[in-house]
Amino acid sequence: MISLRPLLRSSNLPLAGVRAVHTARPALNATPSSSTPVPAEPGVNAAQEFQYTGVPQAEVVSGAPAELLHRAVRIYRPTKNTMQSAKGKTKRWIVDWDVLQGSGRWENPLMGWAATADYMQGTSLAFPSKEAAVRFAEKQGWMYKIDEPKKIKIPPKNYANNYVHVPGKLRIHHTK
Amino acid sequence: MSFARSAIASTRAVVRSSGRRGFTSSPARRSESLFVHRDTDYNNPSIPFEFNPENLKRAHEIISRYPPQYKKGACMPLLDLGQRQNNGWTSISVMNAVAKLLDMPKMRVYEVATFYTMYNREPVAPNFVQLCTTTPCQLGGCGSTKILETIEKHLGIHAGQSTKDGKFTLIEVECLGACSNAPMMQIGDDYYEDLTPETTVKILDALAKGEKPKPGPQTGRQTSENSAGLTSLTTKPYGPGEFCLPEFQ
Amino acid sequence: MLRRIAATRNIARSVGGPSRRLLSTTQPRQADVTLTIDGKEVTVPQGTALIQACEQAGAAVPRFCYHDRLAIAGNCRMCLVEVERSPKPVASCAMPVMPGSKVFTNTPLVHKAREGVMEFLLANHPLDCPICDQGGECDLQDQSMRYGSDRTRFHEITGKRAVENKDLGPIVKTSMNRCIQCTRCVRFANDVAGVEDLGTTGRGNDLQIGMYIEKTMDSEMSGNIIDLCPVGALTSKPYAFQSRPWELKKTESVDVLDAVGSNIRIDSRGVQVMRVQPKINDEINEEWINDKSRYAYDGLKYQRLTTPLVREGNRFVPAGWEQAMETIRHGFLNSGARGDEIKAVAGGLADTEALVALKDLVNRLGSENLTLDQNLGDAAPANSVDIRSNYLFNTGIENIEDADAVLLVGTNPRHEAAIINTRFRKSYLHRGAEFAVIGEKFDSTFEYEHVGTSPKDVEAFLSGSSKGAFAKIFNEAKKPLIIVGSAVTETKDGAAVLKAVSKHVLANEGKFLTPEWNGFSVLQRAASRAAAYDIGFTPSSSATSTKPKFVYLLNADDVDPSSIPEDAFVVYQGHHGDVGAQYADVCLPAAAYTEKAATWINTEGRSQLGRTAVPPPGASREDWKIIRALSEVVGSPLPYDDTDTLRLRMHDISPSLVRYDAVEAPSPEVLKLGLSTLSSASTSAASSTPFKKPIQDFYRTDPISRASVTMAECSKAFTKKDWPLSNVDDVAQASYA
Repeated sequence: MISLRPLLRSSNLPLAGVRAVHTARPALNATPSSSTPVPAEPGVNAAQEFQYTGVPQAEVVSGAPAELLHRAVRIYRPTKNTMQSAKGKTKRWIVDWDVLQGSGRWENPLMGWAATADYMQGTSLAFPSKEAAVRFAEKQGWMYKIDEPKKIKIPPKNYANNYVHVPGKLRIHHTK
Repeated sequence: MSFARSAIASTRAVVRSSGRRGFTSSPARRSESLFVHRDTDYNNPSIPFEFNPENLKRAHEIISRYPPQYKKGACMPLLDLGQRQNNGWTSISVMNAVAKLLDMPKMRVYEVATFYTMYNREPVAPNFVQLCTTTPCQLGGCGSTKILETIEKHLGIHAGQSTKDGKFTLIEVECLGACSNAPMMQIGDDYYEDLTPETTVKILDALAKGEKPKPGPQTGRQTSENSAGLTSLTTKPYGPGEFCLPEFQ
Repeated sequence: MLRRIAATRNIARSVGGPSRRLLSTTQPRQADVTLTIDGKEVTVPQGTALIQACEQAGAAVPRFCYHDRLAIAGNCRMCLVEVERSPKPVASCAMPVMPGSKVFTNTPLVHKAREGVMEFLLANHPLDCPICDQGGECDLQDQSMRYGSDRTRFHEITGKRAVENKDLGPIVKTSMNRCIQCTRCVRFANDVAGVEDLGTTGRGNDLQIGMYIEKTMDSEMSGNIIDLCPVGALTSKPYAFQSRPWELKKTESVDVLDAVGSNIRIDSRGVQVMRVQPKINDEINEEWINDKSRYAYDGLKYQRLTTPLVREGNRFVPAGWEQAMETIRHGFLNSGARGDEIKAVAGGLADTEALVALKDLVNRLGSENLTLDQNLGDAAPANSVDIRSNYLFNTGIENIEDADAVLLVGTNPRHEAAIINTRFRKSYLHRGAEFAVIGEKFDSTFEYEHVGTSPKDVEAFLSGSSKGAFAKIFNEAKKPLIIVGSAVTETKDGAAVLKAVSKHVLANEGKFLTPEWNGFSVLQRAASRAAAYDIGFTPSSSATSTKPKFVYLLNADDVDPSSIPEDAFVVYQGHHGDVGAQYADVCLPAAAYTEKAATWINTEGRSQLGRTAVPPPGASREDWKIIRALSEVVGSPLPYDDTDTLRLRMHDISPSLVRYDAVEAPSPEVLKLGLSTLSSASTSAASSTPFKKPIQDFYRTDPISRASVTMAECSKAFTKKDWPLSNVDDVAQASYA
């Protein structure tokens, strides 16, 4: 298990170390007991709670099957859809699982519906930042691989370029 | 413009649109002139066209007016040259010949030829009657509507059609810039202005006989001078020295 | 104020200066320009379009005709913005940035202007979104949500404009009524694809997109105009009415149908790949993929091996995995294969993991007989593959745009690497690069000088005996580039050609081998080749002369039948029942590239990790797992049980195999070392046998594309030029289609 860590980046802290089990609900503010608990607002009053403390915390109490710890997740930012010019859904980071070999999906012979034995096949989690995604994965004790988005390189474009005088041979006949 | 082109181009579109109708509330407005080329026996790329030596010389003269890498600039005059050589219409072979001569992709020539309405992409008769029916002509003189009716009646065709004997093609066009001599029509390269139904018939008859009537205003007035006679400069212009001091007379 | 005037004057001078202005997208720029957009200050290079500056400022500007990777047309007018002291809204795509200008993208004026534009666009646009394939990913639909009116003021009794559909071939389906004349497709065809057949005909309201004459759009990149089309005028024919974008699971992966390693997004539904889209990666494929990458996916449905097959007499009988493995064990033992008599042949679609596992297994069994299914694949490769730079595209895909003189030796990039070919066209158009070809002539998207056909001509050209115009340009070039096709290295003359080339490169190393520029590249055409060479999947010299008794074909479909002895026991592992399977005694069904998470090394040596989009069909398994299971059967178990340990093993072989998404550009020293091995190799004299194109039919190169119906149609339409153009008169043009 440890040996494959170098490739799949994950917590470099010992897995079997002391696991701090959270007893308090992390997402609630420590407000006077008489009043209704206020959900923490990320970045405002919950900064501390959301900070990665260095030890997998949630895997013990999350109740998630132990197999999940053996399945690496991928953290990536979806690229822009080439069919559309808008950039919706490209700012967030996605955590999802690879298709589980052998139990991914099959077609129901009667209805043709897709069935699956993999409960994670339809799951993907969206995060506002890479750090948040990493923090979550580490907290859950998942191995992960980060696909850094490629930098998009668009040269400055100029309408006047269509009409620039070409001294030599004309290589393209511009059109509308 | 496009209305005038309709029948020259093809009547197929009209026929087709009248046939099948889908369930829409509004009728589909087909593009009136066909902006795609369909091979026909009289118009297809395998029909050879080459500039004749005289026109080729002229073409090279035109091309030489442009920078060598921008000889595509000669596309329009060359298309016109080709149209003149090809009996007044620009066949696909003419366009291809121009493209070849100018080293342009063929499509770039097709774009030009389809953009401008004065490139006839369907054959026209030797007497290509273009009657202006834009507002000034419609209002001026007896009005172009009357002229149109006269021509249609006289030739037995509607705008956009050719006569059976193949002598005349009639189309309606937009303003040809001779508004002061309304109504007017262009036949070939000549303007026939200040038309009346009578003069129109006379011109058409003469053309049918192979004669060439005198172009210009048909009322006898000089170019676009006032039809009601001159209102200024009516007196004899004074000569040199007139009204000057005697020593200079 | 004074300064601003001075600045504008500067611009005026630089724009008006007729001196040296090249037709280029990136001009030498003098300065940066600072302007305010929606109250936010941004600094962009001078000469930037306003729309780009708005983008940088985080202001979304709607657009139809503007596209980041195409020339600017400025004809949709959707990107209108307000500029202070400008009397009218300005089209931000056609407006260069001006220093100090104040731009507003979210004012009532802007909204009103865009709403007006949208109303005009919608006036003639059919209301057929429910049956339009673009629905759900349509720019017009998206933007009309914000700027569109809910009712029309267009009451023309003649109705909406109707335009005939065009037949562009088996890939692009047209519905020209929906066209809004943005001309993105026209610009793509002209600028990127190099097919100057598409254009606009007519004028005004009747303007339409087409080719005027009736013909197909003969380009290997034509599928991209479907992506570019902001409306549903150009949609995908094979994907027509198949699914909606929101039903699809999107998996970002890597294409393997050529060696470029284009990034793709596999859209799947259930167990089926529904379509393949490009994934933007400016280092490789920008925003394009070729038609084979895009449309060969339907080949994944047909001719698949779904269960192990065992030959019984003249036919294959389906078997279970145990039975198949047992048969292989018997066959292996009965064949009595020992040492080099065990032969493994790897095909073009073998992934790196499987190659490593197979090589490990075969080596453990004492054999060095590892061959490739290419011409002369049985022999040790002509380019000594010990040094990586001898078989890789060292220049880098991104950098070839900088080349000023390119010599292509025995390669047709248009078919062997269509994406790289678009970069060539880019450098041809915008950088003024010059090209020359030694080898078979081909229908290129750039002009080239044909300087020879044979290995002898290579020697002659490089020795400076050529008197053509290109020879002079090549000698004076600052960044010359020689690209040797992979097919060249697979001929008997390969070593001689490489020797001549490497000698020339070494003699001019000041130009060819600098820290900034590698002017020597080999262009691979099969996805697995670079990986195979990387791990040393090549035969030892003793192995080449051994007659094999046990042959293992890993995705090997182009294998030479004469290299498989009649009495040998043959196992085929692959995903399609293609050529290779016919020779086999046992067929083992494996996963295709959409069905496994595998490592692929592209022609520039970039390692990329594909992703599983759908599970492999039936009983088929991931390739390396089959080999792992087989190793157990033949009594030499491989030491890895999961992909992670396998990748650790790959890391041991070469760290570059698992350093994903990175290209390790060889240093000039390494290149020099590699080239000196090539130049010092003892070779026979170069012959005058002409080079031959390795790819005769671009659309049918591998088992997947050969099984694909769409590719068969493409081959018919574009390679054989035998596409029956559907006559528009005969096809019912329903008002809703």
